[in-house]
Amino acid sequence: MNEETDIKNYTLVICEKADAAKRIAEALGDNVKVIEKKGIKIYYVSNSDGKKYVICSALGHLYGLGNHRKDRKVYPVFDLMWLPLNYIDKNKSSVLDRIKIIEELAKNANEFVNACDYDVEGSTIGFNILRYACKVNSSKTLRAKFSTLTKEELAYAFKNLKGQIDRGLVKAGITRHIVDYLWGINLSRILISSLQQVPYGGGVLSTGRVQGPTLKFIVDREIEIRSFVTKPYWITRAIVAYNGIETYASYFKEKIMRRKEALAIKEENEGETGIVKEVKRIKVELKPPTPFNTGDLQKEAYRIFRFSPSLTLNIAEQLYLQALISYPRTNSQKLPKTINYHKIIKGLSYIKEYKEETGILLSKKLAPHEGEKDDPAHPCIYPTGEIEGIEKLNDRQKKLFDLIVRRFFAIFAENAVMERNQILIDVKGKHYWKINGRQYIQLGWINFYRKYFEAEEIEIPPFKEGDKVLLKTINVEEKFEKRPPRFNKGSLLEKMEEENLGTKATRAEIIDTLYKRRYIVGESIIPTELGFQVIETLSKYSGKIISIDLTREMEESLEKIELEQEEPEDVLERTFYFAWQAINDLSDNLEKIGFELKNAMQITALENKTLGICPICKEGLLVVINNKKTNKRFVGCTNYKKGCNFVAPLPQKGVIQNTGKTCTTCGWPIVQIRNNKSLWNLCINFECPSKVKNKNGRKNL
Amino acid sequence: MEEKTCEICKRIRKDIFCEYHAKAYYNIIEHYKYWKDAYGELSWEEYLTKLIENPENGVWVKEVAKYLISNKNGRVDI
Repeated sequence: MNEETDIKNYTLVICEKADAAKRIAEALGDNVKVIEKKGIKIYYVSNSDGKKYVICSALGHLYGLGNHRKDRKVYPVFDLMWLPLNYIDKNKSSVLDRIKIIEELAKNANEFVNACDYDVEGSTIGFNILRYACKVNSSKTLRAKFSTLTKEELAYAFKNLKGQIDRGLVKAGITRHIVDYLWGINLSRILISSLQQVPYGGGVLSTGRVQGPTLKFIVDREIEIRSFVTKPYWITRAIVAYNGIETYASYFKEKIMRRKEALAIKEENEGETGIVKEVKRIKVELKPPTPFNTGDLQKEAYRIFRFSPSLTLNIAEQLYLQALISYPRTNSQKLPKTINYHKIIKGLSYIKEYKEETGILLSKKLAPHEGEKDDPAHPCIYPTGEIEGIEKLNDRQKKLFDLIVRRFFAIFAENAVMERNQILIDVKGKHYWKINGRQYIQLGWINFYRKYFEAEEIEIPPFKEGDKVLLKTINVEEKFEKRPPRFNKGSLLEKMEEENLGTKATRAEIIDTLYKRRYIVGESIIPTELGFQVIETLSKYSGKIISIDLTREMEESLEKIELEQEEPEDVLERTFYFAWQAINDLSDNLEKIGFELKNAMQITALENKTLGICPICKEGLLVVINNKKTNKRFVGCTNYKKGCNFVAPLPQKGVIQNTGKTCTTCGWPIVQIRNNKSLWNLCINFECPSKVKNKNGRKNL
Repeated sequence: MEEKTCEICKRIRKDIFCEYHAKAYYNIIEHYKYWKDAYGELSWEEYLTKLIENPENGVWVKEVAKYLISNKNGRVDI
């Protein structure tokens, strides 16, 4: 062992991620030595006070819930325990090396610090490592609390270490893992077992405490859409002439429910002169937006960039690990009282894109407009003012960083002031028409957020009371009530948040799982036959599994545990009871469930493989074919026996999803390819003219 | 005993339609009065045709409307 590492009586610091370990090491002292063992970096730090630190990182969870039974078909499972992840997941074999290294480092340590992310998951990760790998009692460990990875904040956090401040978070984390494990493993195993009851059965299905109710939202919405009957109504608009200027007026009743009435309005008003009866000017103040919490950032990034919620969280985490923004998993819409806003804005002023905005903000007193929501663990998401490495950000990181920065600027700005002009025109004392104008008289915060907020103005002529106007033409338009919109990833996330389903950390992942299981497809989310059937079957045999009330109640209890207002035992007892009931209900109907689900799986698979009518023979269907001999896949025509020789190659890696869309250039089907890293749409026509510019045929989403 | 399937899709039915097409059928019946009132005069067949043509209506509604048009009575008892 070399000199640097042959030390004793140090403080062992456990971090959640490698980047965080590096930043913590740099913040704790100037003398930093890095030793790499089996690809894992360990930082040896000593500072001027003679204090010694050894810092290492986990890679997320090193321990997970499992049981010793090898047979994965067995249920119910109630005998669970925390095990190193490599016992549970074969792909996590590297976890064992990391655990052994931490065990070794713990032997010579005299103080232990959990410096994982300060939230439920982070506290649980650190707690498990400290109790299982370091073998120390949690009462003897310290907790570092920080929301940014800036040197200043990290140094402060390590000067103010406390014991057991995150007890509630740990209890809530452990309880959440147990509850989710019990629901997830037992119910998913029942679904998988049910498939094995039917001839040629098999396949993987899953459901969970949050996954089931979330899928139910989508299915319920789709039922509403597919059984929706619209209602007709009419709107009337007039072209009004005033001093040689023409403008539009709407009838005072926005919707006219009878065609006859709408036509009568046209007849009685067209060509008539109306008198301006009222001119109203109303000033409306629009407050600045509130700082971002996780959900708000995910929704806004979806609205503006079409980033999926999980992608947004992923990018935000990368920005956090580069110390550019604060911790991105938070419910809070409030800024920490202790930070120096001026210093952050000053830091950002060195970026040329923000010169103008920072110049304005630095010359005024800074008072943020905050939201109502709070989070005991972390403040809102805000830029730290650090700009080192900003030029190396990739396109997506730059976009999200810019959104966070501009939102941060906007919260310090003045209200925007809009003037609404409402003109009321009287025709023969019987009919009334409205003209609405809108203009901004002070842009305030919109100046800072203009890139992401459209301040639309409607100019109208300067009417005065008593003016005469001519109603030149009246247009009667038949309209129909719109059907409810389908969820997209952003609105689904919003719905989960509203209903208190899942957490800020898990929601995005749950949506991804629904796609992975083929329960849902499309950007505008549509449940597949399988998605429909899973909900139908679970509702029929054990409605509680997909009960939103039960899940919401459980979430509330978990939040209370976090705040130490409820004990885990009560929640666990209720979970055992409900899980046991659900297991019994489903087990009694295993074969029926298997038939229902298998059938739906086959329909979904067939729907996914059938891409549409063959563009060559115009008769056969294009289907995705897997050649059993070569193990290659391609698109062929079902009419091949009658001579149609249509063949189109497909990428051999990634999951293929039928989009149901055709290429606007050549009319051939478009499929979606998803792999671990990306998602793109592909026209299956290898020679499609649209691919001239893009040789690999990808249309990035 | 073999279970009967919906007249429109292959789902299990209780009466003529499965649960989903039955829901669409009830919506069609319920909305007829609005449409009649809105247009002044509107026969049942005209109503069903309008439902099929309108893009806002749900796919199950259109399927039921088509079924009802091809069914002589234009109505079914559920």
